[in-house]
Amino acid sequence: MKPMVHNIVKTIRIFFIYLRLNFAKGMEYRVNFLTSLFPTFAYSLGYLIFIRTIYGLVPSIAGWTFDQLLALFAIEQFLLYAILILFRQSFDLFSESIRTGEFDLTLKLPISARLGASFVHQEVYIFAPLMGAILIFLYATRDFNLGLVQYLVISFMLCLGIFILYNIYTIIASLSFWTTESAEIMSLGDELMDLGRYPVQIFPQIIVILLLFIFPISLITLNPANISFGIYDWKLPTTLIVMALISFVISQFIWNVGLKRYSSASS
Amino acid sequence: MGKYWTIFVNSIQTGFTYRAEILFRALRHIVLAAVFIFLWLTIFKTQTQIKGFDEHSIVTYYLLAEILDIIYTARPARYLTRQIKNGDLSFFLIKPFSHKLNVFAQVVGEQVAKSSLSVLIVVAVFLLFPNHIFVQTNPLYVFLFCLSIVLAWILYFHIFYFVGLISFWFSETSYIRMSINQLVIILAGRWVPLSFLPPFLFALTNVLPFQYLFSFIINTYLGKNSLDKIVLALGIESLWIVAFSILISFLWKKGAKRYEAYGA
Repeated sequence: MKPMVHNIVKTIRIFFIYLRLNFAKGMEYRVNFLTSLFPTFAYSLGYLIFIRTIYGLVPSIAGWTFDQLLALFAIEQFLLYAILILFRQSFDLFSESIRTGEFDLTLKLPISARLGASFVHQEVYIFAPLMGAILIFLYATRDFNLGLVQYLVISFMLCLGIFILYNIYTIIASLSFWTTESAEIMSLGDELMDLGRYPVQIFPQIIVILLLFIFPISLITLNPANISFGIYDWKLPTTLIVMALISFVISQFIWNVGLKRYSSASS
Repeated sequence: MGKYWTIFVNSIQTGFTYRAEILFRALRHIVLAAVFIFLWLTIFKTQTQIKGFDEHSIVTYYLLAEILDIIYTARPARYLTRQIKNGDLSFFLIKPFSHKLNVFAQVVGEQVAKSSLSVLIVVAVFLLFPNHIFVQTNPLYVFLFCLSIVLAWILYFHIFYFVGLISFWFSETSYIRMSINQLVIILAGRWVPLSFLPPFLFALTNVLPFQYLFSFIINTYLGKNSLDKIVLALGIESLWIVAFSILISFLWKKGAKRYEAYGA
C-alpha cells in the first residue's frame, strides 16, 4: 500500500513540475494568451448563433431547453480546452517521437515513460478559452440555483472525465508503437469529442452505446450536466467511476505492451 | 501554362501519398454530417416543414455541406503564411512565374487528391440512406450546381490567399486565419441554412461573398433558387472574384516590398 501511495504522490508532484515548467515557457509568449481567444470566441459565437437559430424555430430539442444545451456545450468545451492544456499536444509529439526515435530521450528520464510522454508539452495559453467555457457555463446555469456542493460534485466529475479522456488518448497514442497513423486516429477522437455537446436522445441506440461505453464522451458530459439540472441518478455517476478505473487498466496494459515492442531508431 | 500543370500533377501525386490521412478525414466528415443530420431529424419529428425545408432537403443540405467542406480542405492562407514566415517565398520571387498561380496549381492538386476518396466515401455512406436524400433530376440545375462549385472554389481560393497576405505584416497569423475561418463557416451557411438565421444576420449574409461558398450552391442543387437569381448570383460572385484579385495584386505589391528573409 505504502509504495502505491508513494508512487501516486510522486506522479502528482512530477505532473505539477511539468505544469509549472510549461507555464513558465508559455509566459514567454504572453500575447498568445490573448490571441488564442479570437478563434475560440468566433467558434463559440458561431455555435451560439447556430443553437439560438434552432431554438428560434423550435421550443426544445429532444426535451432540452436552450440553457441546458448551452450548459452541455460549455462542459464539452471545458473538457476540450482542459485536455488541450494538459496532454493533447504531448501525444501529438509522442507519435512524432516514435517515428524519429526521439522517444529514447523520454525513456532515459528517471520517471515513468508514460508520464514523461503525456505531459512534456502543455498548451497553457489555452487557459483563456478555458475561462471562457466556465463563463458560458455560469451564464447557462444562472437560473439553476447551484450551490457549493453541486459545484464540487461537478468539478469532481469533470476531473474524472479528464482522467478518462487521458486514458483514451493514451490508448490511441500507444497505437504509435504499431502504426504511423495514430495522429489521424487522434484527430478522429477530437471530432468525436464534439458529440458530447449534443443530447444523447438525438442519436440511434447503437451510437448512444458507443458514446456511453466505448468513447464515453456523452457519459463524461452528461454527468456534470445532470447535476447542474438537479437530476440526481446514481447509475450514471457509478458508470463514470467504473469507466475511469477500466480505462486506466486498459490504457496501462496497452501502453506496456506497446513499450515492450518499441525499438529505437538507433537500435 | 505547362509549368503550372506540372505543379498540379506533382501535387496530386503527393496528396495521394497520404491515403490513410484521406480515409480518416472522410471518417471525420461522416461523423460531423451524421451529427447534424441526427439533430435535424430529431427536430423534424415534431415538424414537417421549417422555412421551406423538409426532412429530405435538410438531410441533403448537410450532406452537400459536408462534401463542400471537404472540397475546401486545401489551405492557401496557411500555405502562403508558411512560405512568408520561413523565407521560402524568396525562392519563388526569383522564378519566372506568378506566385498566385503557383499556389493555385499546388492547392488544386492537393485538393483533388484529398477530395476524391472522401467525397466517394461520404456519398457511398449516404447512399445507404436513400430515403432521406433529395436527387435533383433537372440537368440544367445539376449543371449550374457544378458551375457554382467551380466558381465558389475560385472565390474561396482568393479569399484565403488574401487572408494569407496578412503574414507580410504580422508574424503570427494563425489565430486571425482561424477566426476568419470560423466566421466564414457561420456566414456561409455551413452550420445552418442562411434563411433560418435571424433577419438582421440573414440580411448581412446577403451582402457578403461567403454565401456563395455553401448556401447558394446547395440551394441551387435543391432547386430553391430561380434561374434568374442563379444567373445574377453567379455574375455577382464573379465580380467578387475580380475584386479580390485586384486587392490581392495591390497587397502583394505592398507586401513584397516589406518582405525580408534571412540570407536573402
